[in-house]
Amino acid sequence: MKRIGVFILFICLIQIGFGQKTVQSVVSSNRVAAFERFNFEILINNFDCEVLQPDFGGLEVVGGPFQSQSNQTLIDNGKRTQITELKWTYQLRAKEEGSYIISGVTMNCDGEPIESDPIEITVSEKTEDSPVDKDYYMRLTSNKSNVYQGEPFTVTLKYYSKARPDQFEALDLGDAVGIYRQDLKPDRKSFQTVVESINGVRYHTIVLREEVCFAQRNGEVSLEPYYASILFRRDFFSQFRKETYSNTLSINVKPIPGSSSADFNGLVGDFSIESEISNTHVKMGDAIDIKITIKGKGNMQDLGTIDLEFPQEFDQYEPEIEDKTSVSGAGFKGEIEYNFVIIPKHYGEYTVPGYSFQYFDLKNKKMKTAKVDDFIIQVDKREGLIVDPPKTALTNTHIQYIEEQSDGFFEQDDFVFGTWTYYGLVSAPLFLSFFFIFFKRKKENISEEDLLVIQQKKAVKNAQLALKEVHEKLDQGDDAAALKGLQTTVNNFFMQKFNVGLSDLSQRKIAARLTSENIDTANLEKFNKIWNTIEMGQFAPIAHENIVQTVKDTESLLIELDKKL
Amino acid sequence: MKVLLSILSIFIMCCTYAQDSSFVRGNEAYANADYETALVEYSKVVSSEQISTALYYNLGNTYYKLEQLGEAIWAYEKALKIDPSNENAQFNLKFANAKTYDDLDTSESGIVAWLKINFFSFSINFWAYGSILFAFILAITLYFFFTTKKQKVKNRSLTLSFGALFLLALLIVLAYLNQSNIIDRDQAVIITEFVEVRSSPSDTAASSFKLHEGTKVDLLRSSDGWTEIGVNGNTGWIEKTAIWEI
Repeated sequence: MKRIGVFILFICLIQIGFGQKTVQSVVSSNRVAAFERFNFEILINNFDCEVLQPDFGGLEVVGGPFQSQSNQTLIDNGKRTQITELKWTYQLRAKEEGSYIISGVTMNCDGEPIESDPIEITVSEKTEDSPVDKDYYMRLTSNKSNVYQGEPFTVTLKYYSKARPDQFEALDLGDAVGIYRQDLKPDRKSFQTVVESINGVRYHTIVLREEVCFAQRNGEVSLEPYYASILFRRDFFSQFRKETYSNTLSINVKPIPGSSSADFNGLVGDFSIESEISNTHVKMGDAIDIKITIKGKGNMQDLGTIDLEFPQEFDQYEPEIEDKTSVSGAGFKGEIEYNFVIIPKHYGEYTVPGYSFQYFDLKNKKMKTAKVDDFIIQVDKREGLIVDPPKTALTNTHIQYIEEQSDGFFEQDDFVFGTWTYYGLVSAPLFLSFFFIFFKRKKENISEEDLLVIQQKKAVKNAQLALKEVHEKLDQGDDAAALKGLQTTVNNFFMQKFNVGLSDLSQRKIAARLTSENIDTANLEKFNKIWNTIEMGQFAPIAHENIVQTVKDTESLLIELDKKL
Repeated sequence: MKVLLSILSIFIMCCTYAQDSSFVRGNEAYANADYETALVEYSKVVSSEQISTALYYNLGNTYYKLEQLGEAIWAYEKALKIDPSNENAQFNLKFANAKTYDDLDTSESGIVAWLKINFFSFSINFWAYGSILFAFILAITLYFFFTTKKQKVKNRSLTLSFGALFLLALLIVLAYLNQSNIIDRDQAVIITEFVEVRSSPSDTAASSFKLHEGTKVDLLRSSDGWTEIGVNGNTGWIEKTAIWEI
């Protein structure tokens, strides 16, 4: 040990290339078991400095130092850089379990010492299988472990390998329930490999993916292990594949206080809203542009579409959405423009309700409202009231002309129907009709006695008429017919007057009746004389003068009797 | 009596002259495209309670020219109530209806419209006078029926009586329907640009739907400045000021 614990002087013989002078010390593993051999390497990239062997802190040098040299040619932007690396390798081991520290390696270049980091070695009884011990592993980390729902946080997927990765093959994202994630470098095609020392162990690292995430529900959400497949070079002709899974990353999500409002749709960050309207006073059919701009940063992807409630009288079209946001580790930032075009189809004053939404201000940790006011739009009529082409197929494009003659004006009072006059006029004919019918009926229904009276009244008139005929016959010289007519007349008179049949007419009966009616004797005699003359005339001819006298007597007698009976 | 009649006839002539001259002046103004004056003149006639088909028709045209669509449709509807067969009014109403926003078919069609056009197109008292005539015919036939003794005449007059009675009843019904068709105001036209139809007669009531100028609605009942209307099977309340009754 002392043998080796001397100053070693290295003189640089060749120096090609330039750049920062670095010294690195790495171990093959910093967790070892007792008596397990491991390597300790010192790496320098220049040759004109002196390097001092570090203090191994009680570890036993089993072998070395073995010197080796590697050359690497880099072509960057057409510039050719050759890097030469010198390496000394020691084989070390610990005899007892415990913690050992290998001090940093000091390099002296022109009096300026450069020192590498000390390395702690933990020695245990048996080898542990911790991830750090592995030669190839992948870590998923977040910049925040405790977020609000909707608050952005960044997740990094980093690959570690001891060998230099040769080719990236595949990456599969694990499930992420309740998380919205957005790749921060979606256009990345190549990966940069960086050499890092993790706890003194030298690793090649690649950041495979960086994403900004937003938790979409509260509680604990987690990103399931990511998978990566990477190829390594074994030798010049062959490669080998390493498939690796990352850890599961859990994030604790806090609910947003006061998030039950209907206006709140999960926006978290800092936002503002503006509006612009092309015209508030238009004619029917003129298009109006309404632009709503939402600016801010946060989970703007949750903004989606916004709905303005246009009155039904407006034709509206799908809004044109212009997304001017960019994504970064702090979330989305920028503005989203919503361009609405509406065309009023009817006149009047309309109110288009404005738009408002609530968001959770992360800085002040409270809800805020962003709002644009209502739009008041005055729509005027167009000439000819034309809104659309007429919906019905009309041949004429104008209304018919006025009527110059009026067919008679009237008032409400001019209606005949329903007036008393009308009811009178409708019912009067019927009343009149029934009136006449009634009278006619009355006439027809006269009693027998009344009829008799009428008959009796008429008796003398009928007799007088009949006697006229008798006179005519006498004038014609037809005595027989005259006498017969006289007999009939007398019979009819008494039949009517006494209301008796022909069989009841005899001289005796008539005389008795006349006596009972208090007819004076002169007339009674007159009757008897006439009756006798008529009876006699039936058997023997009577002188013409005699007949004439009898007819005259009859006439006067009947008139006398009519007065008294 | 004669003096009274002649005074009355002169008075009627004066009235007729007044309304005719306003009507004629309105026509002249309309012909000169002076629609404001035409409206004033026609309105004078209407306010004198003298109405006619031609008056309402011309008034409708004037409103149309003044771009008052709702009032124009109202006037055409009024004209068609008096004379449902007026073709010019039918055409102009159809024309104006085609320009309304609410594309509702509120025009009557089918048997009702046919009956109206064919039976209500005569002068306002046609059926009333007709019924009086048939009352006379009925009276005469009845008289014959009850008085004649000839069986043949009796049979014929009975048939005629039944015919006359049927026609009398029919004409009385027609006279009643014709008059109530003209006088009754069971429909209305919206004359404001648009109106919210609410679920109850109150400004704060929820809006059920919206109607626009020129739409014809049925009047159901009214309450304190509000009217319940029905249109296409829907009902709701609107303010009375938004409508003109037909």
